[in-house]
Amino acid sequence: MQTILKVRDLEKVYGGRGNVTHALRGISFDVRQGEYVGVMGASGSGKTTLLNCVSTIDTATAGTILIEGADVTKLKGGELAHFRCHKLGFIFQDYNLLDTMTAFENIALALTIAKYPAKKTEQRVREVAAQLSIEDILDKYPIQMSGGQRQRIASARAIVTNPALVLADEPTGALDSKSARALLESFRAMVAELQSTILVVTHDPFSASYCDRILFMRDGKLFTELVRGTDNRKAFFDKIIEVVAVLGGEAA
Amino acid sequence: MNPFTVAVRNVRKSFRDYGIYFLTVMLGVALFYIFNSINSQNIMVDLGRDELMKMVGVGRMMDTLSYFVVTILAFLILYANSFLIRRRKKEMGLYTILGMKKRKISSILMWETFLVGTLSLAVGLAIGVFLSQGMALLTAKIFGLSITRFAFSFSVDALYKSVKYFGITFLVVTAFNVINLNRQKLPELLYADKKTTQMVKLPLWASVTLFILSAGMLAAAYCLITGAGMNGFFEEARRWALEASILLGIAGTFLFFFALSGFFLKLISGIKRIYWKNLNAFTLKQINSKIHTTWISMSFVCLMLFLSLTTFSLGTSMSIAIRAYDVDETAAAVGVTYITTYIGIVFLISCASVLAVSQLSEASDNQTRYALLFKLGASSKMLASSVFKQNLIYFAAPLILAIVHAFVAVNVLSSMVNALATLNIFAMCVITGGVVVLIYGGYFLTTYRNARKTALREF
Ligand SMILES: Nc1ncnc2c1ncn2[C@@H]1O[C@H](COP(=O)(O)OP(=O)(O)OP(=O)(O)O)[C@@H](O)[C@H]1O
Ligand SMILES: [Mg+2]
Repeated sequence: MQTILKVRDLEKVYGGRGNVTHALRGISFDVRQGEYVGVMGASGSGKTTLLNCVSTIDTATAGTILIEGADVTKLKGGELAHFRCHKLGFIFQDYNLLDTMTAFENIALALTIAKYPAKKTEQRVREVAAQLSIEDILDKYPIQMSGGQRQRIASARAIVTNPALVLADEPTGALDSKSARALLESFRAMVAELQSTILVVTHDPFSASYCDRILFMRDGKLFTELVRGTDNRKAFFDKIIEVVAVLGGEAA
Repeated sequence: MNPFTVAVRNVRKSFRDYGIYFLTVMLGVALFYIFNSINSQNIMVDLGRDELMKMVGVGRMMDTLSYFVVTILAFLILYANSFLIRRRKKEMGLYTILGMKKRKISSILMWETFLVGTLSLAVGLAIGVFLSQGMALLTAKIFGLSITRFAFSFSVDALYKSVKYFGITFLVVTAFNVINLNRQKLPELLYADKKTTQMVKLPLWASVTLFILSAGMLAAAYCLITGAGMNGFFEEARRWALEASILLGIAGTFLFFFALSGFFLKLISGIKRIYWKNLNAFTLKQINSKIHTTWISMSFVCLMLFLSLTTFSLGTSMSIAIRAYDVDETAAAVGVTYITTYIGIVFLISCASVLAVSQLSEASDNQTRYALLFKLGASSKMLASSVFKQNLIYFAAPLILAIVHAFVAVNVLSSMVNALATLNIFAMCVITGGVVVLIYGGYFLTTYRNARKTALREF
C-alpha cells in the first residue's frame, strides 16, 4: 500500500525567551493508505500538538510532514486552505457542527468549501450518509441529535470529500460507551469499505483497540509502537493495557 | 496599577470595539453643534432686521427640539454602551478573580468612559465647527442668497450646550456601567458571552403565504394613498383612505420582515446551483436566523428610515416652495429646511446605530462558527465575503423597503408642493441620497470591518 503520511524529525517549540516548551522533540513515523492508526500517551505528551501540526492548523518548528508526497510545512495562506479542504478531514472532540444548519447541510458544507460541483452535492451527501447509516437523521438540527449521532454526522462531513487522511482528536471523548462503540464501528467501516486512512488521538484503551496500529508518545517523542497484526480485539486490548502500565499508567 | 493607566491601555487595545460608540457620539455631537449654532452663522448677516427676528424664532424652536434630539441621542449612546459592556464583561470578571476590588474596576470603567467621551466630544465638535461653515454656504446657495462677507463663525453658546448635554449623558452612562457592574455576580460576568438562542421555525408554506400577504397589504396601502392624494389631508370624506393606508403600511411592513427570512430562504434554497456554492448555504442560514430574531427592530428601523427620507427630501423642497410663494418668508423657509434636515439626520443615525449594535453583539457568537469553517478549509477570502453579504443584506433590506415607501409618499406629498411651485426633485434626491450614503454607508462599513476582524481574529 502507498504511504499517505510521512513525518520526519518533527519538532515543535512553544513560547520563547526563557519560557520554552518542547512539545515535540523529533518524531518520525509513516501511515499507509487504508490504515487506522491511534496515538496514545500521557497528558501533555504532545498528542494534540502532533495532530495540529499534521492538520496544518499549527506550524512545526522543524522537520517535514509529507502528505501524499507534498510537504505541508512549506504551504502558505491560500494554499493551506485549499490543501485542508481537499486532502484532510477533521473530527473534533466536541463535534463542532453548526447549530444553524441541518445534518445534511453540515455534511454538504465540507463539499461546498471544496468547491464541489453544486449539481452533484446532494447526491454525494446521500451516498456517504448511506455508507454510515445516518440517512434517517439528515434533516435534524444538531440540537435534536444525541452526542453519538452528532459525531457520526461529523465523521460523514470528514470523509465526504474523499480526503487522503482523516484526523480525529479524542472523537469518543464525549460519548457514552454504546455511542462510542457505534462510532468506532463506523471508523472500521470507513477503513474497510472506503479505504479511508485515519489518524486518531485517544486516551481510552478500548477505543484504541479498534486500531490497526498504535503509536505511544512520551515527552514529545515516540516511545513505542504496537501493531495489531492477526490478534483479535481482546488480545490487542490486553497488550495496550500492558504498554499503558509500562508508561506509568498515566496514558489512560 | 493605576486605574487611569489601565483605562488608557484598554481604550487603545479595544479601539475597534469602541468604533460604533465613538461614531455615534461623534456624529451626535457634530449634528448638535451645527444646529445649535444657527443663530451665529454667516447667512444671518445678509438677512434684514425683520428676517433676523424670525430666525431668532427658529433658533428658539431649535432649542426646544434639542431636548428631544439629545434624549434620542442619549438613548443611542446608552444602547451602544450596553453592547460594549456586554462584550467586556468577561474581562471585568477576570479582574475580579485576580483580586481587584470592585471599587478599582469601577474607577477603570469611569476613566474609560471619560476618555472615550472626551475624545469623541472633541472630534465631534471639530467636525461640527467645520461643517457648520459649509452648511451656511449651502443654505445660501439653495435660497439664492448672496453672502457678502464670509467670516469664520464659531458659536460659544452651541459649544457650551454640547458640552453640557453630552457631559450629562456621559455621567448617566458611567452611573449605568458602575451600577450594572456592582449588581452582577462573578459567574454571570465570566459566562456573559455564552448564550444559546433557540429558533422557533415557521413552516415554509406559512412564511411564503404571509410574505405574499404583506406584499398585498403594502400594494393596497400605496394604491389608497396615491388615489386619495393630498385630498386625504384636507377632505373629511377622504380621511379614511389616508388612515387606512397608514395602518396597512405599518402592518404590512411588520409582516414583511416577519415573513422575509423564511421566504428568502425558500426562494434561494430551491436554486441548488446557488445554494450549494461556496458558503452560500451557511450565509443564508445566518441571515435567516438574524432576521428571524430581530424582525421587530428591523421593522421599526425601516419605518424610521422612511420618516427620515421623507422629511429630509420634502423639507428642502417645501421650503423652496414657501419662499417662491412669498419672498418675505425666506427666513421661515430656511428654518423649515434646518429643522427637517436635523430631524431627518437624527433618525438616520438612530437607525444605522441600532442595526450596527445588533449586528456586532453577535460577532463573538459567530467567531466559533468562523473558526470551524476555517479549520474545514474555508479561505479568509470566503469568510470575509460571507460576513460582507450578511451585513449588506441586514443593512440593505430595511433601507430598500423604506426607499419604496418614501418614493410613494414623496410623490403624493410633492403634488401639493407642486401646486405652489415646480420642484427640483432630482436635486432633492441627489442630496438625500448623498447624506444617506455617507451616514448609513459609514455605519455599514464600520460594522462590516469590525465583524470581519472578529470573524478572522484567530488566524
Ligand atoms: N499553545 C501552546 N503554548 C504553549 N505551550 C503549549 C501550547 N499548546 C500545548 N503546549 C504545551 O505542549 C505540551 C504538549 O501539549 P499537548 O496539548 O500536545 O498535549 P496532549 O498530549 O494533547 O495532552 P492531553 O492528553 O492533555 O490533551 C504541553 O506541555 C503543553 O503545555
Ligand atoms: Mg490533547
